Amino acid sequence: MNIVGISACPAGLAHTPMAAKALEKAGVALGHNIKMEQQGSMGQINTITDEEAKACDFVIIASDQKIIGMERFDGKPIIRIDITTCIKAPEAVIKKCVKAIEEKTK
Amino acid sequence: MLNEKNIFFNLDATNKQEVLEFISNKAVELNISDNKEGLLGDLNKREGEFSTGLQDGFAIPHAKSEYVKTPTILFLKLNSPIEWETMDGTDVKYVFSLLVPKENEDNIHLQMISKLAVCLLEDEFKNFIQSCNDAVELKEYIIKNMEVE
Repeated sequence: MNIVGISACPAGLAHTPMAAKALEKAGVALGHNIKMEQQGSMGQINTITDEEAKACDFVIIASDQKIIGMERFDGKPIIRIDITTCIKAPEAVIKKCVKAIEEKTK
Repeated sequence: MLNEKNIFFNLDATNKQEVLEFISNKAVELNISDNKEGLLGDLNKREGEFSTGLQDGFAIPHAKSEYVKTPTILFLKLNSPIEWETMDGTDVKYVFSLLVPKENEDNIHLQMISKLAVCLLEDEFKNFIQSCNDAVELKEYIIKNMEVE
């Protein structure tokens, strides 16, 4: 699947890059295309373009923070997940999301 | 941002609050902060959002604080593990404290902190930190891993 996502945390220092890297690694390991944008203390990093947003199957939001640029994903399924879960069990998160999307599109 | 003076082995602490107080005290001693109570408040405020406990005995208490003067990393190794809400339920023995000024334009240090955080996902990195007991060696290893291309 084509997965895009955004991570963000309160200080934007540590959990944001950790969740992004953990999900990217897990996504690739499970055979998906994945790109994670970070919205942290350095602003937006690895920003998801409008084209990438349009081409995705679903969006993971690893955060309970306010996210910039959600309008990019209008019409796409959006799954919000606690950022610590994404760091702790990234493969389980990706699997669960993929399964949910597959069931939805059956 | 990290030197031998910021590395503390054999620390006796019985709870998270003592660790955060130790960090705030040292930050003032080392001229990283000019306000112990202010920094302690900001560290606690961040912990209040959600715990900075990770996995395998690591925690990363941090703050982006007006009471921090310069981006700094402190490392503490505790004598015995303490309770700290972690992702895998383990107690905490290895503490990286990440201190960054609130208004920070300095991207290089933020990038280094970001790399350090990502390193904490890697077993090889964690194993080295857990087993190393030499401050100079530890500092060099961490800095090498934080280098930004």
